[in-house]
Amino acid sequence: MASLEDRLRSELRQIVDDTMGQGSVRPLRAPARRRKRRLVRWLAPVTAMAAVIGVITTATLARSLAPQQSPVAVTGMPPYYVTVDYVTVDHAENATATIHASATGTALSSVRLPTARNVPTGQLFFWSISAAADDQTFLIQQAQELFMLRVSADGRSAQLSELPVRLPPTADVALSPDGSTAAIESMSSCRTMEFTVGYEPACTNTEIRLISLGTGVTTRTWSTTAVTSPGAWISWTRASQVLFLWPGTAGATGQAADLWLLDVSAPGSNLLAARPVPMPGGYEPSSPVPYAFLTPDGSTVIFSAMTDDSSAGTQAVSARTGKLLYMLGQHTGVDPSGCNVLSLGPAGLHALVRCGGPSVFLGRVDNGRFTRLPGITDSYGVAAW
Amino acid sequence: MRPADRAEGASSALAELFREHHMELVGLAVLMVGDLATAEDVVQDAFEGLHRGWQGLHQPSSGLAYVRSSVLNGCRSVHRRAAVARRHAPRLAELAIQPDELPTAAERGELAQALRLLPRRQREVLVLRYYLDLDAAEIAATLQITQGAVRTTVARGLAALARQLGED
Repeated sequence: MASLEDRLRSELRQIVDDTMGQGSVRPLRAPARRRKRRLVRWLAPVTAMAAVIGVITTATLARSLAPQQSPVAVTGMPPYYVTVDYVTVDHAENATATIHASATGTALSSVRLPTARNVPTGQLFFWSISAAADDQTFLIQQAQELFMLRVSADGRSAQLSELPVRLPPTADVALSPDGSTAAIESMSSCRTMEFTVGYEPACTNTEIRLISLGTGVTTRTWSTTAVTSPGAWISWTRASQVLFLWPGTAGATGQAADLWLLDVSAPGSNLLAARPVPMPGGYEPSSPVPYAFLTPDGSTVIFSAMTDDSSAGTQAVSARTGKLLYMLGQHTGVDPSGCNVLSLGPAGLHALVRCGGPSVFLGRVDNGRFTRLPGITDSYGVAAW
Repeated sequence: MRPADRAEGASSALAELFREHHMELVGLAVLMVGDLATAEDVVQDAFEGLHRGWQGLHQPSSGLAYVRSSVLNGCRSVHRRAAVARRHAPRLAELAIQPDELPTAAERGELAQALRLLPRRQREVLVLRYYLDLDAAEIAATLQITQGAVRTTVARGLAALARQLGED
């Protein structure tokens, strides 16, 4: 085995040397604005030491306006949430759906997902989960398969059934509020393309489909061949709207945006007819993929982000103007660099948030606070309520 | 110690950590995500997180494990969104546009390709062991698993590599 170990050492170092030899390694930069993806990637390199000091100075000095807390008292929290977390069993990748009490995080019941089928060896696949408005119906995506999880009223039992739907290699799936239909955002013809300031993945065939979960039949399709960035995220905000992610994509009017809203009750099949959702000035998503949700009345976008004072929290902004309305809660005591909203309660006042850093964990953000919850230990873990 | 002295000490320790380990952490991220720009972003995030979390560290010496763990978690998040593009790679032939000719790091060698086919945990453990030369205790601290699990995973990972390379 010694020769294999030596080869491994040698080849790994060679790969790193070759890759780093393609260009000088960029020193750290000050954090502000650095997440504007391809627009600013190379704009502000400074010396390594100066940048470290800059990071420290920026974070130390920046203590400006404290965002307002949610103006509404905590009401309407779903009774439980469901996590799907990656587990390793006998060195195979598997997932378990676990139902937890929302108030305490206590695990009430769990269901093991079957081993994913039709996944080529070594290929990555992921899970997603979304909830219907009844608090008891959940749609789980595993690779190209879809499962419906129906949870009893007390959360202590659950039934998993596979749906007659075979997904394409897809970005994400969201369940309609009535639990009858799935919205599927998928991208194909994706490649690494050269933009002005570097290489980025991009796709030239993006599609959103509605599928009847009872029959597996596609009922509506919107598509475009415009160049888009892979988004990998969609949510069904109201019966007639889906919110999806198209990072930095320019729409029919030429306006670039990250979040887009599609009215699925309107006629037409052009995905470029979707409306860009404005984000607040100084918006700095705390993760490269700013998952976001719309409140049930469609007026407010909820997402986690860094704020101007380099802290982080789950914010509510106007879907019409992008203006910050209130904070659901600050992520106090949490590394703010990697939090993402995974699910929004039906009242729009309670968010499930997954945070990264040296470890990955789940939290509930409401009433101005971040409350850590059990159920997710891995970056691939997902949750919904 | 005055707050100002503590802050200066933290800055100094962080700067030293950066000087000594930045390049190897970028290398670790390159092996996990496949390209330099993304690797740099992941490491940047990790150092920013370390800076913010410095005061909460039980011991300054745990900063390195913190930032290594953050880099690996950041790489997993990159995998999640990058997988969309990668899953469609075979369809490139359908396009009139020429595909990008820059190979990813992980495409550059028989052994590296075999490594890519391993389960994620085995891949991470082998990279930490044979690229960063970490011992079982350091790998266990980084991945938050037991040292026994590290040893088992290294052994199984090497055996799986040997099988894939036809050397078993």
